[in-house]
Amino acid sequence: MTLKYRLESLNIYFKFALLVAGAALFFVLFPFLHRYGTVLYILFAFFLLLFGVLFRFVAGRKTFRITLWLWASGSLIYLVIAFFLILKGVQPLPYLRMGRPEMILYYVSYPLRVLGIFFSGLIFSSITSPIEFLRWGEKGLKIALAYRAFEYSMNAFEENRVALLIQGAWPDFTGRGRKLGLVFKAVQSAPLLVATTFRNLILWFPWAWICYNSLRKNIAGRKEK
Amino acid sequence: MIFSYRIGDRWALNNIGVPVQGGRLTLLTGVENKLFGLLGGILAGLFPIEEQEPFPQIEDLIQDFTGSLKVTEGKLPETAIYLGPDPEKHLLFSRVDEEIFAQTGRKKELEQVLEAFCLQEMLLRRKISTLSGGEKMKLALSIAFSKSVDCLVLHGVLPWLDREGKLRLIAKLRGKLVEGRSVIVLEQEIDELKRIAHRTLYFNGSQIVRFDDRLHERSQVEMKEVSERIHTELGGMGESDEILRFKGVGFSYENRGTGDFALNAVSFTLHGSKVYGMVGDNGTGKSTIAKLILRVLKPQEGNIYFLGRALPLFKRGEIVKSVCYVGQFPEQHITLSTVEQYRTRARKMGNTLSEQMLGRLFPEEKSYPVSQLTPLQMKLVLLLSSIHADTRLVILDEPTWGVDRRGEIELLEVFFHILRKVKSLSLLIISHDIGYIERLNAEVLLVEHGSVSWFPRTDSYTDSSCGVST
Repeated sequence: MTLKYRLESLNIYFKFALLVAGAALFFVLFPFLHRYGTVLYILFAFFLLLFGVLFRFVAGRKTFRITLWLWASGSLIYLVIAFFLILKGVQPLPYLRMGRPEMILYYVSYPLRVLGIFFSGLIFSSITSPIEFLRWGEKGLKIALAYRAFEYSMNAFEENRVALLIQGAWPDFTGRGRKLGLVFKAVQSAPLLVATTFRNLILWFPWAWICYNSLRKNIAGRKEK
Repeated sequence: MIFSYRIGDRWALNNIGVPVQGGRLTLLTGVENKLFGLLGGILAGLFPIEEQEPFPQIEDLIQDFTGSLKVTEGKLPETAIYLGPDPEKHLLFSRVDEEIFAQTGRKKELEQVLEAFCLQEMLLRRKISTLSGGEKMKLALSIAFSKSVDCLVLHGVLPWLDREGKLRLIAKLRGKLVEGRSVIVLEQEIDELKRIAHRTLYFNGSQIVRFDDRLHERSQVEMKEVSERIHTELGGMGESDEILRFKGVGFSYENRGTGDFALNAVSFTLHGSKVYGMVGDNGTGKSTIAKLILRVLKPQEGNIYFLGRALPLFKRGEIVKSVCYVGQFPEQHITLSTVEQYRTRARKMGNTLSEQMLGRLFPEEKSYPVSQLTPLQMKLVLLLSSIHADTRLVILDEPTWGVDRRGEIELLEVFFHILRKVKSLSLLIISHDIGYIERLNAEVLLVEHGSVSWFPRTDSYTDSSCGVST
């Protein structure tokens, strides 16, 4: 039995617990890390690695690589902005006063925090199916639709990326060319990719809504029988 | 049954008469526009949609479909199922077994549902996103036919099905008719369905009229004529060089859960100035071969040569210029908002041919928002925006999907005009519709059991492994 299958078989509440734990580890606790020094940072790095390995196994090599590329392109833009913020000494948190070294550490490690949240969210989505929400009746059906919309946008994202690649509007990392130039092109084309995915989601949604309504009636009919 | 449907302040459909009667099959063909799909949805009781007061945002999204229905004669079937041309919209869950369970309420013997369209039991644990388009449609059909309803409405399902799937569909439809169910099929490929239809009607874009066989025959003749013109034009180009060569290419997908899909030692060669067709059952790898040509996927074994050079040596820009690809779902490939933007992009990139051809089909006075285009128009935009003076191969993946007979001819007419501007161009059509490939008089590649072979005669192409024969 594979690890993915084992995780998929978990109760939905355990899966939620995993998601919440991920969010807590990488988001909520982060502002307090600097207080407790290096040990906690090492622990943070360990959990990041753990979630990364877990994500690699449940989502597959290809999805893992795409996620890392997207994260890296986003981080690149962020780091340029962060560089100026550090130069100007802008405090990142309103409730904490940081010195320059702490500030640098905070700004530079911010993308890692985002990566951790990416990992936990994507692990959850890889091991959870919309059907698991049906047990909560009407509300569950609405959650299932929202979740399916998320799943659809993930698929649409990949399909649109391929479409852009075919049209030469997305960098081809398998081909020849300077890697830095390709990364720049990925950063440049990312807004178009996101916008196209979003547009396709909007086009898909009305029909999905109709089909879910039909399923709702179908389930209600079965219960009556 | 006669009905009218009002959206906003106008009648979208007025006095539409469709016979809905138990044990009878009504075949509807005609202009493939938004109203055609709406018509099917109304007959299946999907429209009008209930108002969604707690979700005004959703109400905004569905306003194009929301309206008021007035039935003036007869009544809607009590229970009905609608299956539209995009199975992705009907499959709501992640895995095949979950989908069957949610839609039918069955907990056991799910494989029996799959048997209806000869899908293998091993698909049960597969993620729906990893199924091929044809497999998705077969799954949606299997689920639809496993339900007991008064009326079954199918719209545009045939372009998805291979020969075996079509035979199964016809057998299943016959079964439903014997059970006394009412069946309404909205379809462009009507030749096989006409044999079992009790009535064939024509939708002219706004009204339902009597189907005229002469209209159908005329479109067949026009299709043949444009096909002949293409072949004459290609024949006039003289000796043709090799443009594409697959040499011992092997490929399989990881993480599919079954491990049964693979292309093994695929070898074939395509030459310039030719029309090729690629046929094969659902899930055999036709679209995968297209992706290998476009270098979206990399072969795990063997080599692909384009214009005599190994494909990995090409820069992406060279592939974009040399290979023009129009996918089955054009909306996935449309990335700009208006046709005007495509024209401007072509101008900026110095692609005069694309700019001229786009201008010819979509005159400059209007911007043509892409969201308002029909699937045919979207396919034309994609074809014309990616054509280049250096293009050597045009790949049309399932060109008949979402396109009516008139549209099929128009698409070929446009290709004919391209041929007059671009020399040594070849056309590769990937399609389940063998009849369409036959009408084009194409050289046929058959994809089967992980290998590709040349297929000289399309009329004997059948697979009766599922117990269905012609």
